[in-house]
Amino acid sequence: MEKESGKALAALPKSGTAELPKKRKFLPPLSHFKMHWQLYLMMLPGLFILAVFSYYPMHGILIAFKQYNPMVGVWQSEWAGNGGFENFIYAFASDGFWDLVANTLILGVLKLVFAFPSSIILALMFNEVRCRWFKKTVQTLSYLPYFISWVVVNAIVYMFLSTDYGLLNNLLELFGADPVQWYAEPQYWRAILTFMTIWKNAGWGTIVFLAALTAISPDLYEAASIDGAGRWKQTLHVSIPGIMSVIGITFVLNVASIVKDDFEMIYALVGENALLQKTTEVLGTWIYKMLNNSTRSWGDATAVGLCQSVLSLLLMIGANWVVKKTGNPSMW
Amino acid sequence: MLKGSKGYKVFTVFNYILLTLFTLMFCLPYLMIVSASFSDELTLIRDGYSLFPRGLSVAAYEYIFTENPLIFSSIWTSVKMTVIGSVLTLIVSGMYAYPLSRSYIRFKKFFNIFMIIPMLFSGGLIPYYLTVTEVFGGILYDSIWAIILPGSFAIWYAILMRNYFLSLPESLEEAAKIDGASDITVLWRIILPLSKPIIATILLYCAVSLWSNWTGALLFIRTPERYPLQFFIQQVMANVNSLYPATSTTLQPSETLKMACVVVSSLPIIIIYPFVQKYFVQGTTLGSVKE
Repeated sequence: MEKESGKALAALPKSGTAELPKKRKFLPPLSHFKMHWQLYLMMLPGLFILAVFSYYPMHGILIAFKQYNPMVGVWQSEWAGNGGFENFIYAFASDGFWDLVANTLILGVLKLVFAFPSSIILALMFNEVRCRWFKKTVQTLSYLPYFISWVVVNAIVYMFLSTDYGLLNNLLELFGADPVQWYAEPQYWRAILTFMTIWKNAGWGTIVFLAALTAISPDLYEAASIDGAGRWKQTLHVSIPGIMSVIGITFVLNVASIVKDDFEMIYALVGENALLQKTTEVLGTWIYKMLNNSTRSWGDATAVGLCQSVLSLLLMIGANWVVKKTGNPSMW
Repeated sequence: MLKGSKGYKVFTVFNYILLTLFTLMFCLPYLMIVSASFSDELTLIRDGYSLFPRGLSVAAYEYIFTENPLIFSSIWTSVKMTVIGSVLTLIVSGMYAYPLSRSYIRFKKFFNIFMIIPMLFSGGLIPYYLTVTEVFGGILYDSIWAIILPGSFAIWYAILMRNYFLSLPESLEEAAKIDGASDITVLWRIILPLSKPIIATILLYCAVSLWSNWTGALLFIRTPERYPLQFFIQQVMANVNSLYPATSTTLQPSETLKMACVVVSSLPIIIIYPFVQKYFVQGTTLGSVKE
């Protein structure tokens, strides 16, 4: 789509100055650079930042295959045993590693199954509102949590769940139930983390879908209602198919979150609370812990991080393939 | 549409009620934090949190603004980080995006792919940590530049800006080019004045994400005097006693103080948000980008 609009624009100035852009395309390299060197110069800072902070770290992946020794650096460190895969084998066989993997996957799937559709449903609900000031107010307020940092969200969660002063326990007492030690009971935290993800992101996520919904021609709704379709049928047969392409793209972008845990959220809400680890310790928090550990565990942590990166890339490619197969526009 | 039908009416009422409830759910918690921060510490400890302040008191704010030098330094650090970082990100990303939007640039495909790959794949946390702490002789470590500099090329914003520049008709440039204007002059005199909406949007996105950033400080900043505000608040939430000198024995506000810190840290965003909301929203649709 971007490419198409670019082409359309390139074709635009045909009247009057049609010759110019065409001629320039065939400039020999030397005069092209003489004419446009400023453009290439402008890109240097960006190229530099990308090279240093995105591409240069990639050589650190080698740590996954080595016995990392900070004194001699990444390149000089000795290769790990077992054909270089010692770190992987050690990490996969270590105690509780597969629990981490399970926690990561469960939280990821919960996020995809509940948080992703919540934006779509909310957008469809917004779309049914006819009263303009109400719609505007509701939308504005629903975007707000997206701009608040997880640290602040943590304070909100604490306000509700704090054992002695928390609102939820006050409420439970009001109904005669026993207070719950929320910060010591891991079984609730998958739900809590998923709920907070929805709370923070659902409103903001509606924007893309709302933009697609407003693009649906009113004629379609009219035709559907003439055929006797009620609101529900219209939503089902006009609105949802109308935004299917956007749903597809957002799905591709979201599917990698199954393996990519949300470290920033989990660490803000749970922190170092060992009592909740059973359900909230994920690969991201484990890697962070290893980072602060001795450098000897860096090899394992890098190996695990590498698996995570590769898996999320594969998931994205796979999702993109599925979306393409179903005939919807995809990422690439 | 079957506006008059009974089912439709029921549905509409139901929809409005649900949305009202959702909206309350989105903003009430924040109001409760504000009210808690104005509560009296002892009342709060006795009765717990509630919707309205109990026993109005400004003790927590008094403490923040009169006795705690760390909060002031962290606010100042955050302001510096947000302002410098946003402007730098806009400049670096924008300067990469503009050439990519010109039809006559060579190696366009290479530059595009060079920018997209890091979006899909990265080395992971540990190689990144090593890089930031070791390049430039480690001068980034323990400084806000460890957060600002690596983030100054924001791939997603570069794509947004490229698409916006692409949407400006190229004919605008031709007249100036015939008069002998250089690429920089064209950008400065013609393109930038037309790009105010995208510039405002990108600056706001950057500002919000830098203001809310705390994991950067978690990784790279060690000296408490250099903590940005959000990370400082995170520390306070984890252990409120880190605020107090070990020798103090009098009863200090703790619960209300936590909430007051949170209010102070999020207030700038809450206050400017209603005025700039349209720029945030337009960012997702400008330049015909689908998320």
